[in-house]
Amino acid sequence: MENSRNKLKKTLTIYMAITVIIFLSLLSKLFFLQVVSAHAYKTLSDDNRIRMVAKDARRGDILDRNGNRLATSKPVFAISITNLGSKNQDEVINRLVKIMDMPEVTPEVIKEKMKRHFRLYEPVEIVKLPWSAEALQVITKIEERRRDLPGVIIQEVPRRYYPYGSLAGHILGYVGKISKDELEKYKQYGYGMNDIIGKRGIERSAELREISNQVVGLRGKKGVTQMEVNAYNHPVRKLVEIPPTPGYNVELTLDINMQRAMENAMNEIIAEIKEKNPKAGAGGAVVLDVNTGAILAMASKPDIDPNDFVNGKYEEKIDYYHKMKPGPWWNRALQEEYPPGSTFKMITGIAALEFAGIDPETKITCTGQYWKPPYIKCWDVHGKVDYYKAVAVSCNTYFQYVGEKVGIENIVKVARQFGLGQKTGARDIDSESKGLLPTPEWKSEVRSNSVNQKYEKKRQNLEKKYNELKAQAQTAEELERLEKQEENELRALEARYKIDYKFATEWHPFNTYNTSIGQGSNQYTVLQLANYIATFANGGKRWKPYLIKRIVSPDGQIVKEYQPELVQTVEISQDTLDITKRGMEAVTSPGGTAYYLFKNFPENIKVAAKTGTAQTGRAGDDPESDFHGIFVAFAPADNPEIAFAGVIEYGEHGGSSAGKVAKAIFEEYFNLQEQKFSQKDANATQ
Amino acid sequence: MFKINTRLLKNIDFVFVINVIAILAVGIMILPSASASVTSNPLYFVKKQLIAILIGCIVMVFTASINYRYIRRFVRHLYILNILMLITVLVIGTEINGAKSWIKLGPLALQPSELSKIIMIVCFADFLDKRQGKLKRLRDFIPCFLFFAIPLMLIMLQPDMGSGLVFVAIMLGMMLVGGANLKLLSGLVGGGFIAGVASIWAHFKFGMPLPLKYHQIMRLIAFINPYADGEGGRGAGYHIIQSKVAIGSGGLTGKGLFKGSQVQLNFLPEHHTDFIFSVIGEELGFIGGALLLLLFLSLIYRAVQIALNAKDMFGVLIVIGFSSMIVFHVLVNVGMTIGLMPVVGIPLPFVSYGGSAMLANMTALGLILNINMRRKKIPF
Repeated sequence: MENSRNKLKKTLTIYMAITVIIFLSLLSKLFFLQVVSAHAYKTLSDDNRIRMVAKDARRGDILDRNGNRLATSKPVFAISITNLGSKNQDEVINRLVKIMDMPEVTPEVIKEKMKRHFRLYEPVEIVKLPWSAEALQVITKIEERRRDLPGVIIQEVPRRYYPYGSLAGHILGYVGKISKDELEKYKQYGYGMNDIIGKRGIERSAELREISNQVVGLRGKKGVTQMEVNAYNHPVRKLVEIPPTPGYNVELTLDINMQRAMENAMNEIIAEIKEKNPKAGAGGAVVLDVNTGAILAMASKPDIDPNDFVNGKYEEKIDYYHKMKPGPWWNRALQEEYPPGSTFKMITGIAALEFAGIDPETKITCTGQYWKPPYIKCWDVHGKVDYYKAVAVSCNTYFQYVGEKVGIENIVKVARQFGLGQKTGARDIDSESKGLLPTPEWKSEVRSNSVNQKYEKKRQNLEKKYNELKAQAQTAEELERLEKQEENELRALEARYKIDYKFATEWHPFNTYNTSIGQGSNQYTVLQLANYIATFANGGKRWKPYLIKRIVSPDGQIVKEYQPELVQTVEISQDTLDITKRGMEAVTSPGGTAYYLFKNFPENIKVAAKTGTAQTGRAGDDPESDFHGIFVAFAPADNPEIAFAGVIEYGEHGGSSAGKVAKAIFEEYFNLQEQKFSQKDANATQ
Repeated sequence: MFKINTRLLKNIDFVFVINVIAILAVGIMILPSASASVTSNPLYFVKKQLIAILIGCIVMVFTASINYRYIRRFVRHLYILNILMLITVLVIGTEINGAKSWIKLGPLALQPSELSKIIMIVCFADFLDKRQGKLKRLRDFIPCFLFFAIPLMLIMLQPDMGSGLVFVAIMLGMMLVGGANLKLLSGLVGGGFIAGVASIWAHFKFGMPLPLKYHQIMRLIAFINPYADGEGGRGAGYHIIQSKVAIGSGGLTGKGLFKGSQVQLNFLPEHHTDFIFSVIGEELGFIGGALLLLLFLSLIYRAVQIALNAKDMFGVLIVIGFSSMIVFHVLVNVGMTIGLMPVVGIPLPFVSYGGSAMLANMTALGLILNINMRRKKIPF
């Protein structure tokens, strides 16, 4: 017995040893998990239970110079449902559908949305209701039956709204869902996949700006709610809640009343012109404060309505935006280049007075065309014209003559000082075009390439032809003959090339004539023309146009006030400017091309202007009948405040098209339309 | 014969008893927290568990009071009763979670396989005792295997792989102590293990057919890499991942009762039954988990001491059968929650919620105390 006891003791020791090994392995693994890797598992555990739910901030408003709200955010009711995972979810959905009673909200639609929703802890948006009586009714009904609708949430979410519709649409721009590229570009500012971002215009340029190490702009800061969720991704409780910070308001230099006057006039005139010429329909216009460069109004037709891009109408109007011709997409005040026509003549005139010593009193005789080839025509037979009359009646003959006298170099020098053919550098706008100021250097560079290419091709064809012929040659004599023939032809080609090259690349007198009267290759944006006139009007200070006056924080503090920025002061004598101004005043005086427009204006508000009619230079247009109407002006002439430039495509005459827009603008700015209105009212009462 | 001799009571190993009470206390303490997210009444499961413990105590007193050696007269009956019981569950049993392991009696659901383990321990103790010194060769082992074969087969028909493995563990533990050839026994265990691993490998490599369904195989091997369960950690590996996260995030001191997010927010399923150790790990930390394991180790140590001092080999084998069962349960249950063992659904003794297991364990406890009281006289 004692023997077997000992044996038992031995086996039990082995048994116990195995047990201890088993427990030690469990303990060491437990130690590894809970002591060594505890931190990693803690993170995993938090990943399991914590979710972030972002709350959008209210975007800042865009205001005009008088505080009118041009872009704002309107509350929209978002009705959402949280997936509580309860068994009577279907019942809740059915009840909600019945209460809402909207054809587009069906149980199937809701269930489909819930199925596609991955973040179960976030409510699923069923529908967005804009603020209206009907919407309020639906909301009230849902609130009344709150207890029967667990998980249904009504949230007020901000949605962009542009109260003035298409007015200033190109300037304001619009917002939209962030793109992949934008997401990459603005990575450091913490944008998310589904964020809204300014796409165009002020919405884009004022989206965010870094001002003294502080990021300000229309975009606010998103709020965040940290939620604890359970294994089914259903929210359990809120852990942390950081409310969103609203965006900054942006005040523009724009005056919405002037903008309205301008756009209404443009609409009216363009509609009229379109009846005569179906190619019409487009135009651009700009009004600048001559003393600062501030943009007071800027329009492009056809227009865009920013609301279309936030409320879904864009899809319906896709033909309007992308198929119609001319289309609304580009901002014609910035991005289209137009020949300036006669509005360029002041440049030629200033150059002639300043550098050629032309006496404004000296008269030349206009016989209806210039006396040198190619005998470019004038509008009329003006007879004896001096400088003032030449401006007033826009005499082509006179300006060709003085242009030739002063030479292209001086004309270019003056044009450059007034900013033509260069970007204005305007702040806060979408990209602008550069335009084109033709110079001898430009001509030589551009043309030499095309001529060279043309002749290189001809030479290659010739060689190819002879190579083929030579390959077929039977005798040595024939080969010799062919070689000689080829050499002759090449020499002839070379000679022709030299003549062509010289003609094409050299600046010819007629190039100067054309440039002098604003034809030829002159191409400028409306903004450039406006800035040129503003510079002229204020006595030679070229300002950088701008649109944003200041940025104001949500609590009303001005965080940035933008100051006018001087680009250049022109080096032209005051005499020359004054003389030319008198010429522009003569335009609106009896006998001038724009007299009829402003004849009813009071004495103290004298308008200085210049009309322009320019061959469109577009392929397929008739150079004899298709003209753009161009108009530039400033007022009051003796103490200028605002400058205008406008182009109405296919407007035929500057005065009768863009001139009318200028008239509407001045009437609005100087409060001259009251009389008209009161008269109308009187008629109505009778 | 039913009267407990007070002199015998003095023999009881009170450390062993306190050990059991301590483990029960841990179970009762964690259960309200573990069941909080399962039921709205935090005391619902605790109440039921306490009732099971109470009934278990009555049964324990009963099994402790009769001299265990009288039971030897009924082993044949017990063995047949066991088989009939296991057949009954296959016929009239209720299927829960894919296994026909429960018999419903009104509000009660009994799990015969739990009681079956205790019956098999007693019967096999008798069987081995009679064959003492005759377990030297492989062919001596065969009767032992056959003895277990029928009930094991019936258990696997439910199918209840966990209980089946417990049977094997009990058999091996008892054979070891029963004097089986150690080399042969360990060779068999090692060989069986290698054969098992090889057949699973061959199944995946060459498509060798196995008598297991795909999800059963995945459950067996998912613990090696729970993220490679064929569903990116959402299939068979899910339990393991969530359990490891729960335990790991508990850290040294735990998140506190009712504060384990993995448990309370239901990331970890079945946490009041098979995965209750994960709750202990998450809410009581390494300190709580290690303490519980040490309590179990201490329990086994005391049981081995009781076995050593038992009056006869029958008693020794009963105690070893029971302790083998406990060790295997702890190894597999805790092992699966920490990713050391395959996910096999067996409960943590005295801790997991479940009346049948509690009753069976308390019955066995009674037997051990019985053996403990009637131990050999220590010569002074």
